[in-house]
Amino acid sequence: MKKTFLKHINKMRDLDILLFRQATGWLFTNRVRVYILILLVLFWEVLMKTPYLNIIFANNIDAISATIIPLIIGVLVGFNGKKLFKIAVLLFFPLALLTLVKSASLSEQLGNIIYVLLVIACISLVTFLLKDNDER
Amino acid sequence: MKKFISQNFNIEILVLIIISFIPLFWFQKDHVILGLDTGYAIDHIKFFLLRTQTWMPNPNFGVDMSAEMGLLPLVVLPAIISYIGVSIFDVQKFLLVGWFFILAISTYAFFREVFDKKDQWIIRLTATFIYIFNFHLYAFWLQGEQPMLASYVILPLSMLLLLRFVRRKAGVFMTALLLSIVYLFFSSGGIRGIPLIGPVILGSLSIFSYFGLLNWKTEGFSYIKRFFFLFVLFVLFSLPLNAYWILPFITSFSHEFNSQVTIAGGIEGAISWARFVSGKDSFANLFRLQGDNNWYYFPFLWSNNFLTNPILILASFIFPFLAFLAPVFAKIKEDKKIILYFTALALVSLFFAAGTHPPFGEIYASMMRYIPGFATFRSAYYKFMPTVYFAFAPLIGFTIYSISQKVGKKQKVILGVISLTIILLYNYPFFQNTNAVFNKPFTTMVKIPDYVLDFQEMINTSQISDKTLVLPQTNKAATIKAYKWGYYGAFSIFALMTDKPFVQYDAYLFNDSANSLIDTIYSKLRGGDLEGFRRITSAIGIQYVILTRDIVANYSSIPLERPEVYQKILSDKKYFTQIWSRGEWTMYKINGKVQKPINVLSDISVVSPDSSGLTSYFNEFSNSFVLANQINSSLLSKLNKRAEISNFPCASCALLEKVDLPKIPFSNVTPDSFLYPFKLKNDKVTLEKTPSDRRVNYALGLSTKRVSEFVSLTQGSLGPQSSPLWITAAKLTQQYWDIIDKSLSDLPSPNYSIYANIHRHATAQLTELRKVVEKIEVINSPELLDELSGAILKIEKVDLQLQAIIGEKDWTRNFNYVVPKNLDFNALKLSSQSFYSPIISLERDTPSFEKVKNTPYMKEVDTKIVSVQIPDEPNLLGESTVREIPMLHGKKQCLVYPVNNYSWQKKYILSFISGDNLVPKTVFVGMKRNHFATQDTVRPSQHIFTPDFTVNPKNESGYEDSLEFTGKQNDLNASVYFCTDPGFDPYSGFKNMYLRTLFVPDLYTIKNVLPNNTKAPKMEYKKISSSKYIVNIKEATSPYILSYLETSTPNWKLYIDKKEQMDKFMINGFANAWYITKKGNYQIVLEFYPERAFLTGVMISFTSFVMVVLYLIYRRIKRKL
Repeated sequence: MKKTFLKHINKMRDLDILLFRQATGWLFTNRVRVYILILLVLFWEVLMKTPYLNIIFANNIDAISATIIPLIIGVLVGFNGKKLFKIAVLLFFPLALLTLVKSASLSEQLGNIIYVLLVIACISLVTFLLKDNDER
Repeated sequence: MKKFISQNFNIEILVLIIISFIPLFWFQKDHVILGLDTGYAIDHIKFFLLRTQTWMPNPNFGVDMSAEMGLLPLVVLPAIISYIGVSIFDVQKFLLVGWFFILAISTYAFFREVFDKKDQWIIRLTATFIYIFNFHLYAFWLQGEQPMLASYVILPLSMLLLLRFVRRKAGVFMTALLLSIVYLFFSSGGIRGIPLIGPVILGSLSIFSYFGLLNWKTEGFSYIKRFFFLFVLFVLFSLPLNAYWILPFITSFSHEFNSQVTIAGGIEGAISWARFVSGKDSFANLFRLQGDNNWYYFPFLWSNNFLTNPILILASFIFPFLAFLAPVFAKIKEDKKIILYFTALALVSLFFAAGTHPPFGEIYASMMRYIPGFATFRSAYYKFMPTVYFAFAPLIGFTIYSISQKVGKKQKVILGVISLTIILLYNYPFFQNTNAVFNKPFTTMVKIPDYVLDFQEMINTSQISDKTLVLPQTNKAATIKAYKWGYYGAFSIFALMTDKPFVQYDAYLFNDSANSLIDTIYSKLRGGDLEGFRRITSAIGIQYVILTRDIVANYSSIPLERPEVYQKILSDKKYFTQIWSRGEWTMYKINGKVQKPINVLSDISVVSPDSSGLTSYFNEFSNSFVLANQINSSLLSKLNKRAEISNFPCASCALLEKVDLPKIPFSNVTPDSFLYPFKLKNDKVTLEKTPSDRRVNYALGLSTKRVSEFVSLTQGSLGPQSSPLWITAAKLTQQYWDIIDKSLSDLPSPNYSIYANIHRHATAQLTELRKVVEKIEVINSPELLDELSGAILKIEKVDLQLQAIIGEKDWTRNFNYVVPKNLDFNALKLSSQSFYSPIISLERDTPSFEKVKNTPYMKEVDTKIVSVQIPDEPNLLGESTVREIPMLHGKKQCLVYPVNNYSWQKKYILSFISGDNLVPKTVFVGMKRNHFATQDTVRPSQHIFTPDFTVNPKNESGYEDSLEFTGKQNDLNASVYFCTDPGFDPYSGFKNMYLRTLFVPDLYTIKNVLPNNTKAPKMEYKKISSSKYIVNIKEATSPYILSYLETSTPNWKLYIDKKEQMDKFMINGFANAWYITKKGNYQIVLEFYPERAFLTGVMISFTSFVMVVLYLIYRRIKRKL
């Protein structure tokens, strides 16, 4: 018991090195993705400041931010339409509560998330239906 | 018999028939739907007959209805019901019950097509109930708005036909034919109804794309081909069927389109309206089938319970919850297909119904900007919500049905009944009769007073045919007509009860000159200038006046004049004779003759330059006139002129306008920047070739640009300024001001607005440059300092010259007019509005022609300056009292002065000088008015003073400040408050307080052209209809003018020997006139052209409809055989 504990302590002592190695290893193996990410960030920064394009970004920032969370949920459930519908429908409960307590801003944001979730769910199910059609 | 009953007697249909009687709950005894956007008349038959013509002669000077003929099927229904003898109070009951049934049955027909299994009754009925019981539609039911009801009917019917077509149950030909018949009957008002069929367009596109996607593999391009043929055939069938409104619309398309775009305020105007309408249309609200912004802005409406009651809030979530569970329940492939279609339609229509609301609102706004015609859907919620209901309805029905599949047969019936009951309970306002009141006492369900009905009978049976002026005048900012008995609407009540013409101020109907003319009539009457009033009314054919004392004068949002004002004026028997009086309405005849609708004139007067000279004109003359800006010069030169009146605007009044100093911006690209040479390259403008006034503006702009570069020196960290371009910039500034200096001397006439503008720029630039010079001194840059000082000197030089002009006189009492030097006239006169009577004596004063001013900028070139000075008035501030005034944020110690001889029509200017620096100061002006109790009235608190105007003067001893103000129609009196904080003495805070009226007299010249010997021919006319007259001309020996005193439009045409006369112009600022040269005896046809197109259209529509019906009968018979 004591030995194991010491072993752990020893490991903890070199945690910084371990993390550094892990991080550098990950960076090297994924360097192309990292470069793309950096380029994207730079590109994004430039686009945000480019005349006219910045207006498009500014005007659609609400739409972009409303799409992010539903997309993550979509990825998590593997774009399973029925599951997404169930999640969206379940979200009507907190939405009802937020509306009851007159939390207009929060309920509006949750409403947006539910809407985009439903759109993703609908697209998933239609795609599935089309595939099913094709197979037959 | 048993078989017959089991086959045909359908309990579902019986339920629909029973619920169709629900509209009977909405009517109180002896009440009718009237006002707002209802579109109903008091006399349905007369109104229908009027609408069967493309020219509607009774509102004001007549209105072109050629673009509105599509509404005919909706106007004919109440007329038919009325014709068969149903009383005025029951016509709408019949009508709405009928609409309810048609709506219910067409919705049911669609859902029967989609869910046709016997046990799916639960879906069919639930879906039908959800579609017809909804609050979006309820708001329109309250107004009985037929175009919206028609749009609700056309959606399921057209979707039914399209679905059958997609499922290959119907062919291309038959579907197109039936679609065009559906469109004929429920097109929601022709061209005006296009925004209302947005849901149908959306639904059709969704069916086409969704089923196209699913059927692509099996059908491929043939699917697109079938839809294409369907569309082409639909257009081919619809064009002749709807020719009755399409043909007259085409004749008026060009000017109609322009006026519609102008009314809508262009695309950006439409977008800002869309943002207002979509203000509450978040998805969170739309999911619950809510989002009408009226609910949120008018908390006193029936809808407020749905926003505040927790049970109703929770209940509203049942709809989306059940709707979006449907895809989870759909197991069979066919169910999946249809349910996913409705889910997709729900989501797409939610996007459209949300309009410009975030998060996707900008996409909608872009669609309005870039998709031609899409801006017509500016009220997104109102236009697309029907599709949301239409999509939600079967989804909810399907979920309930799926749940019912898991229980027994009996429980299934109970579940269905409970579902339907819950829908009805949630929509409990459908069973109330008090919700038509939208702002108590204003309502769309009114009880028409007896005296109004008496008047209707009298006017319709009398021989009166000339125009009647309605008193009091409507509010010019919002020409709403509101009566104490509940009527509230933009449409004149008189146009709803008779075909006799009534004139009112109706801003949106006319051009500026017509409005100005009507305004002048009211102003002459109100001011007691009865001779002037009679001159105008006689010239434009107004023979009667009606005083409506039941108008809501004290409505806080739209105040009107008090009717009592006119009571005394109308009692003058020299001018008026009372001919009818009941209750609150009294009608008078204006003594004296008036012009008939059609006249021949040998000569005419000319008023220049525009309608601003009308008041002056009617001081002198009573004959017809033409405005110089409404006739082309070659035609004008041909006319025989009796007199010419030229009105001159006050030129020096530009100096009275309070405009903020221009802001000098911060410049990023300074002479130190490598980009600067490019910037300078752009700024090279060839100033020499441009006119002097534009040259001044260019130079002012460029000098501001240069100064803004120097401003960056004072704001940022001080750089090296080593660049020689800094010197260039300073030199350029000097050059620009040289150009301004020179251009001012070149101005063809004194231009006070340019003087004022330059003075403002000079003040702003001098302030900034002086700050810069201080900084430059610190860092020791002598060359730049020299150049900048040079620039300052040049600006100061120009500004000093201008200050000499600007500060020369008190421009509130002195007015300079610029008159062309060579203008030929017999008399030069001054006039003012009659309510400024204390100063009217000035008319007798002779204005003086001033000699050339002794300043470089006031050179006499080809103009003269006429200077008019009016004597100063005594101070209008009455006797003061010191009072403690309770304000919203604490109390104020105030010196309160009542305004002597206050009149809401006058403009006032209050001037004062700030006193002791230590005393905080605020000045208020407050008007006292009565308030008519409406639900939206924010009544002024008895305990808190709410000012109408506020000034916060600079707290600097000796600072002179002023405030211009004017009142509202029903002000009783006004007071001025000079206030400070408690504990301070208001007397020491202010000095030299002075209140005077601010008015600008009109200066005009009269040139009497000697009458020539021409004589108007003899004339007789015969009215064939409101849109056609035959005129017989006898003994025409010289050219003459034929006038027709109805609103001028290009569609009124005049034919002699079937040849159209092209020398047409606008007479009296609103009416039609032709210059005719033909001599001898002959006949003239005066015709409103679209009427011909309408009659042809009716023939085409009727024939094609008969052919369609015959074809359908033939087909039916053939099938049976």
